This record gives sequence, C-alpha cells and structure tokens, in this order.
Amino acid sequence: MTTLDTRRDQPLTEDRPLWERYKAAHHWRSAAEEFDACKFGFWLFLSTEVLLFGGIFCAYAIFRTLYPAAFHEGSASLDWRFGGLNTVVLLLSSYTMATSIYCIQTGKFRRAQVNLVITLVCGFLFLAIKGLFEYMPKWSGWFFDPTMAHGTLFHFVEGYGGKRPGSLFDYPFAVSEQMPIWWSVYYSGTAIHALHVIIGMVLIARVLYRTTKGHYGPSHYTMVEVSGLYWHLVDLIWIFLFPLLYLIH
Amino acid sequence: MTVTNPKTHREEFNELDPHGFELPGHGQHAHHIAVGPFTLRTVLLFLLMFTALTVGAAQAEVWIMHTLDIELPWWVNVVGAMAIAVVKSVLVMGYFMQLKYDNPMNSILMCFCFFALGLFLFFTGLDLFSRGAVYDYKAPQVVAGGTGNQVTQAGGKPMVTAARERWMTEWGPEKFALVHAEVMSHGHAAVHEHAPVVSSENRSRPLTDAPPAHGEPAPHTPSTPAPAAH
Amino acid sequence: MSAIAHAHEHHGSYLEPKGGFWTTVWDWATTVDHKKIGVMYLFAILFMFFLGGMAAMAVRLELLEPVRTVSQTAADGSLVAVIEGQLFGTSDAASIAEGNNIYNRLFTLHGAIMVFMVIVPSVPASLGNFFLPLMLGAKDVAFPRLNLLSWYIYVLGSIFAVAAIILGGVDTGWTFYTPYSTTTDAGYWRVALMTMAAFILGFSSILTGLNFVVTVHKLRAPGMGWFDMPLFVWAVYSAAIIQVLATPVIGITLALLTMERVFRIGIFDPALGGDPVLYQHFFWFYSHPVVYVMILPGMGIISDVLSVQSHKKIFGYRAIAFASLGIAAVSFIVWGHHMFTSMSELASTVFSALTFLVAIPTAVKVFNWIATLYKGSIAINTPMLYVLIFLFLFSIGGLTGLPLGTLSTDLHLHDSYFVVAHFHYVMMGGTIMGLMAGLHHWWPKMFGKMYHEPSAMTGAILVFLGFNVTFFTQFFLGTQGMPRRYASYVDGFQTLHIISTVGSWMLLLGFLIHLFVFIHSLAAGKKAPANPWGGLTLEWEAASPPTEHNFDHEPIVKHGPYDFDTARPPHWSAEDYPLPDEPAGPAGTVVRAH
Repeated sequence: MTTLDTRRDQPLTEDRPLWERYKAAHHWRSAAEEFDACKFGFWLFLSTEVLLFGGIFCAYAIFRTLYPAAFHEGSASLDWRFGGLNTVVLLLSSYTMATSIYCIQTGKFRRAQVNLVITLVCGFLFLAIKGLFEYMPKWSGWFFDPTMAHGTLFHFVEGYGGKRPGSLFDYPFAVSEQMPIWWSVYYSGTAIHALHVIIGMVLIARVLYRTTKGHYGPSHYTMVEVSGLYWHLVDLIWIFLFPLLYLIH
Repeated sequence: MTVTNPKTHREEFNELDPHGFELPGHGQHAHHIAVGPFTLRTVLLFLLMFTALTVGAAQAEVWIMHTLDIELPWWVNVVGAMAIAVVKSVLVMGYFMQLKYDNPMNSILMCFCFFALGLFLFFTGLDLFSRGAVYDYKAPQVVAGGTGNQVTQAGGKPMVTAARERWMTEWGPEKFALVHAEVMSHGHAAVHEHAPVVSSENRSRPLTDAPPAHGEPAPHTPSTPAPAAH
Repeated sequence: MSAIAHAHEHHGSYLEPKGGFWTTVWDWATTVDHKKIGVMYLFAILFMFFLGGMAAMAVRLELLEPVRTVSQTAADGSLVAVIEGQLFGTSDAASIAEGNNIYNRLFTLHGAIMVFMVIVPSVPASLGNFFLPLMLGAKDVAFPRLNLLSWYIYVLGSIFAVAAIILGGVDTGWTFYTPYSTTTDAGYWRVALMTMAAFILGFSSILTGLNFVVTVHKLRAPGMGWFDMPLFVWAVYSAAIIQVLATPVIGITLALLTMERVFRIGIFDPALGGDPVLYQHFFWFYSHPVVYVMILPGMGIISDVLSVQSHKKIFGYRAIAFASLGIAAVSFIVWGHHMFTSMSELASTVFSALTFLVAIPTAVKVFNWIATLYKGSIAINTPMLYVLIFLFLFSIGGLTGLPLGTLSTDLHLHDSYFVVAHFHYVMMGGTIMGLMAGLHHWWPKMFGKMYHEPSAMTGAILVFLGFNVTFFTQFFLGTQGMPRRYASYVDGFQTLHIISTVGSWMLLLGFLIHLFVFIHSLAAGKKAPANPWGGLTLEWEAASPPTEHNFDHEPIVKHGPYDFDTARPPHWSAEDYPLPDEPAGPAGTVVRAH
C-alpha cells in the first residue's frame, strides 16, 4: 500500500472510462475530500509563487522610487503595444482554460481539448512575442519583421541593441545612469515570469494528453483544475507586471 | 447524526458511520461548481475593457502632459494602474480561479499572502526611503554610488557613460548622431524629454567631484554631459 | 534492519522488511509512508548535525590560541614584525592569510549546514512527519508523494552543499552578505553552488509545510476539533504556515544574488545604483521567521512531553495554542533587528519596538509550562531532564535577546560573541534540546525499543554542563568586545576562549554518549510497550512501532489530549490506572469504529 501509485490496488472494470473508475488515495475518506484538499494545497503553493514574485515587485518599487528618471526612460523604450498584445493573449488563454474546465465538468471532452489547445497556442504566442519582438531587438539589435519591410525576415538596427542588465549593458544612447538597474529589473521580472509560462504550458500539455486518454471527467478533474489555477496565476502576475513595466509615464 | 454528550460536552458519533456518509441525502460527492460560459465571457469582456482602460489612462497622462503642459504627480500613474490591476486580478481570482464559489479558506489564505507581501514592501520601504530623513547631518554624506570601480568593463565610469563613450569612439560624432536619430525613430514611443532628476541623499550617483565636507550641502550638478539632442 | 525484525513480534510493523536486502532498499527509496520518510529525515539530520558539529569543533580548536603580530628588535637593531602563535598550525604571514580563509570557510560551513540542513528541518521533517498524522488519527499526511519529493529535494540540496564544501567551501558566512558574496571568488562557482543548495532546500521546506497545513485542516479524526489537537500539532502547524509564506522570499533572494553574481544586474551593488542593505532586507525577511520555524516545533514537543511526563493537564491550552499562532504572526514584522547597524534610524526604532512584542507570547508559553509542572507527578527520566534543560536554556536565550533587541545596547553587541551565545542558547539550547526530549520520549513508539535510561541521563547532564560551559562564557566575551567570525583575538580573551573550547569537548562527549545509547537501543534494546509513559494522545494508541496504516480502524476522539484525570491512557489497564468515577471496563477509553 505504500508504493508510489496508491491506486493500483483498486479493481478495474474495462467498460467504464478512467475518470469514472477513479478512486481516491487510501488515506482520504472520500474523493470529495481529496479534491478539496488538493485545491487548498495548491492555493498554498500559489501563495508561495506570489511571494516569490513579491521579491521582484519589492525591488521594482524600491528602485522606481529611487530612480524615477531611469525607470521612466527605460519604460519609454518598451513598446506598450506588444505588452498590451501579450496581456490580451494571456487573458484570452485564461478564458479558454476556464472554459476547458467547464467543458470537462459537463462532459464535453472534445471542446475541452480544443480549449486546452488554444490555451497552449496562446502561451506559445506570448513567448514568441516576448522573445522575438521584445527580447531579441533589445538585447542584440536584430529585429524580426514578418512583413519583410526591410527585405529580409531579420534585419539589424545598429545602436538599438545593448539594452542588457548589469555588466552586459552596451546601449550607447542612455541618458540616466541607472539604466542597467532598470534593465535588470525588467529582465529578471519578465524572465522569471516567462519561466513560469513555460512550466504552466508543460502542465497544460500533460493535462491535454491525459484528457485524450480519458483520465478526466465530471467527477474527477483535479489535475485540470490545479493546472488551471497555475495558469491563472501566471496571468495574474502579468496583469501586474504589464502596467508597472510598460505604462510608466 | 451527532449529539453532544452533556457531561463531556463532546460530540457522540455513530461509531459505525462517524462521518455521516450513510445518511440519506448526504453523499460523498463534492459540490462541484461549474462556472458557466456566459459568466466566463462576461468576465473576459470586463478584463479586456479594463486593459484598454489602463492603457488609455497611461496615454491620457502623456497627452495631458504634452498638450496641456500639466505634469501630474508621480503617484497618479501608480495608483491608477494598480487600482485597475487589482480590479482585474479580483475578477480573475474570483471567477476564473473560482474563489467566489470555493471554500472561503482559500480566499482567507490569499488575503494572508498579500498581507505578508504588503508587510515586506512596507517595512523595506520604511528603511530604504527614510535613510536621509531623520537626521540632517547624515544626509549629504552618502556617496553610496561609489565610482563604479567594481565593474571593470566600465573602467571607473558609470556603465551608461562608458557605453556611450565606447560607441562614440568607434563611430565618431557624425555617425553617432545619425544612428541616434535612426534608433529613436524606430517605431516606438519617443524618449521622454525631461532631463534626469539629480538626486541627493540616498540616491547612488557617482560624483566626479570630491564628496562635500561635513555640513555642506551636496552639489546639484549632474556629472554626465548633456544628453545628445533628439 | 533484520535485528529489528527479529526482535519484536508485532506483525505489519512499518519497520519490518518486505524481502531481501535490495527489496528493502527499494521499498524505503520509493516509500510514501510518512513514518519511513520521517526516519530517513531523522538519520540524515543527525548525520548533518555531526558534520556541522565537527566544523564547530574545528572552529573552537582554532580559537584556543590567538595569533598576534608583535614588533621585536632583531639582531641588527632594526624593528621587525614577528608573528606569535599559530593559525591552523602555521606561523608565517602568507599562510596566516590562508589560515584565516580556512577559518572563514569553516564557520560558514558550520552555519550553513546547521541552519539549512539541520535545524530548520529538524523537528518538522523528522518528528513532525512521523507524528503529525498519528496524532491526528490519520493514515498519512495529505500528500504522501509530495512528502517523498520533499525528502529527495532535501537530499539533492544537501548534495549541492556538500559538493560546494568539497570543492573548497565558501567563506562568506552563512548569510551571504553582499557585496562580498557577489564579488568574491570570481570565476569559481562555489558561492553559486551553496546558494543553489539553500534554494533547493527551501523548496523542500515549502512542500513539507504545505503538506502539514493541509493535513491539519483536512485529516483530523472524527471528534477532534481544533482545540482537541495536541499542542505539538499546533506548534508544527504554526511553523508550517511560516514555512509556506516566508521561504519563497529566500528563494527569490538567492536567485537575485546568483544573478547579481553572474550577470552583475546591480540591484545590490552601490556602484551600479543598487543597495547592499536591500539584500539584507530580502534575506532577513525569510531568515527571521525561519528561526521561529526552528523553535516552534521544539516548543510543541516541550508542551507534550512536559504534560505527559508530569502526568498533568497542560496549563492554559488555548493560551499556548494562540501563542504559537501569535509568535508566527509577529515573526514576520521584526526582521530588521538583525540590521540595526545598517538601517535608517526610523526603521530601526520601529523594528526595535516590534521586536519586544514577540517576547510576550513566548513568555506566556514558558509560564504556562512552569505552571503545568506545579503539583504534577514528575517522572525523572531523560525526556523530562531535557524538558527542564530546555526551560532553563531557552529562558536564558530569550532573555538575552532583549539587550539585542534594544537599539542602544545592540549597537555595542551587534556582531559580537554575545549574539553568538544568544542564538546558540535559543537554537541549540532550545530546538536541539527539544529535539532530544522528543526523540527520547517518542523513541519507544518509533522503533519499538526502550533505550538505556541511566546512560541517556548521563548524556543529558553532560550535554547540559558542556553547553553552559561553552556558551555562557561567550556572553562575557561578547560584552567585553570579542567580535564574531574572527580567527584571532587580543590576549585578554584567551582564558574565556579556552574555557569555551573545553566546554565544547564536554558537549561532544555528551552527544557521543547519546549516539551510542541510540545505536545500542536499536541493536539490543528492550522491547517497548505501546504506551510506556501513559500519554493520552492518539499516537500512543498505535502499536510500538506502528503498523503501516497507523491504526487498524479510524479512531474516534472522546477526550482531550491532556485529560489525565478523567481519561485512561490507551493500553493501560484499570488496575494500573484507576479513574475516579467510572465503571470497571476494558483498557482505554478511545473506541474504535468498526
């Protein structure tokens, strides 16, 4: 009974789908209790994630108050349209995630899978926008232009790049002296957030796969709920990061 | 189902069914609340509206500054953006994350979490922003900016200055101005035109002059050359 | 393991091996049983304790003799500087510098191992894991597989730390203060390794705390309300809340520190516009609450052990329960008292005032314990000895925190040996003595064996004496001005340092005696009854050692955890334990559901 999979001792009848045959682990009194406890436990974990990002927000608050000019200048070189687009993408993905949970709760498995796929696509879009349109030009000066306005997919703008944190800073036209601090806060905040986006996408991909195998249904969808909570947290963090980084005026 | 023993004031259980699972109408299943598509769509709509609002407010602030030449106090931007962000996050947490329909314990937990974060921010800020506040004699002495010596790449200068000088040497002044113009026009909001605020007590800025003697006020001249015209 | 299997007769004990050697190893490696995980943690923690202790012995050995540079007249009449004394057995200037380096690495090793790998997980991960479900009447913690993951994360973190040590160690102090930690040893990865070790260990702590909070909320036996839980559970629960809320901040702190070191992001570097004191804020926001993670479970042990060993209802149950929560709450708003000499006057004043607050719930607990002892039927055995030792040592430690919390005196005592003595009194005189009390109290339950009482009591007395000789002298060293983390010192301090080192040898002897007592108990100890001390809480209902599922049937709680005058302890007969007003009946008043 103390092996890793505590459910293997339950009898499996072949005709019922996996989610109907789900039995809670042996130390729980019922599946309902297990679900409630898992949710509560995951909210505890989410609070740890909030406090993790809290450190970044504290650094941001301190340095923005100490060096408002540097933060102002730095924020002005961020394009709020990309940030806004990313916000919309993440909000949409939160919506599709919540919808997929609703679909599983009501037994609409195909629609749930479609929603999960859209969530994943949105996550990927977020990372692509961030990486290709924001990080790459700022770091190196190379622009990715799908409209091929300059004739090629990638073109280099001299002197644009070098907006890097700390000792890697190499941008020629900065005015405020504490610009490296601004870029450090920007990169550390958004990079740690992007890492969480990737983790969230892994969770959702796994949930998608297991949904196709029939593991989740109206009476058992704990993992879907929990992955959804993680994804919503990722969205929440961005809701705060976006105005703080992009909309300083 | 359970009665209280008057002598011990403890609940007496039916020992065959202590959790009351076998009672009629009291099943083992959780009450799964399904948040319907109409609610979700409405919440999404509100979230998108608030996003537009927050962007609009920021743009309005810029417009007010440029057109009406009124400079709003710095906290307006922060308070406004944060207020809208809080509303959005309450919507996400309440409806998408189903806190509204859940065991209230989860909401209480998140309140504690944000409270702890608030304590962290408050007390750290209490220290960081009051360094020069209490005793005047301390204020001008802080040269905490140092001379940038630790970053060997910068060779004793602030990194921003070092980067500018490095590129200036490599390109020469004409190309520098050309590239500058090109970069500034490359499809994003223009750099704000106000000169950097020169700071006093606890704002680290490398000074090229000797630090002021005890009792003298800190110099208020910027140590960097005037920004290139743009 | 086979000795244990033969020695006791209970079938299905969790310790019974399931097959051959490799089967047993695999069983333990993949177990989700909280008892096995608790035992594994216990052995790892005791091992790390000895490792860190050896580093401390080396530190104290080095401090026997100071090194000094004196001017002497040479043969040709010129003045030369001569080095007297030795540092790690060498006397020339170049190797003095290297010797100082070694010393720095030794005390960093001692601090880092003791804080991150011993004391923080000591009670929660070992005794907490083992007894939390048992005391609640549950079959396991809320998330058993997460528990196993916590264990493996702890192992991984410890491997990182040991790797950093083997590669040469770190000399920044366990607090990794900037700017030294971000600029030292450039090109070597040891600091990054050590901070990553602490980062990983933090996750272990978070997941354990998370598990415990959910377990306490969701897995209590029927009839057990919040105020029917043993106080050990209250203490571990309060500590778990701190673990969940505070530990992520050290995570982000160490991540930012590593980024500062590798990328020079500059937020802690004044040359780039940052602030090194900001690092201290980030660091101590976790590290202060974590000292309450260290002490609260120890206090929980004391509440339970004291009550059982003096066979008396705990005085002021609710006061102690709320005091545990109160300590956890106040712990989050006092961290600045580690940084009085770095902060602004306003912040220092505020933090000093708030620091005094935390003494209040602590004192409530101490007074309640003493009141419990009054008119109790006090057993003189090792657990009780350690309880009394705890009361004495922790009170000294707590009281000496007051001059450190007072701004004016702290300016003189900061970073002196007074601080070292204070935190050793509370951490070692508090948590470790509590751990020893709990270990001896619950050893029969955990392993089904009794230990040799007279030897253990000798060990306890030696530990007590050795501890006081070692650390009480350090209070005087501190007030006279001896700074901490110094390998050498002025001559006037030497006497006290010698006394302190001799005390450390007594301490080592005491712990070695305990080690032998434990080994002897496992190999050849007397078989333990299910309830040797007459405790009333649910863990005494289970067999010694417990079966895999803890209880045969779900227990229903019908009396409070400390109702010694109205309830009979499980497994005790009516003749041994007559109650004032009850008809003669079968042993134990806890009824099992069928």
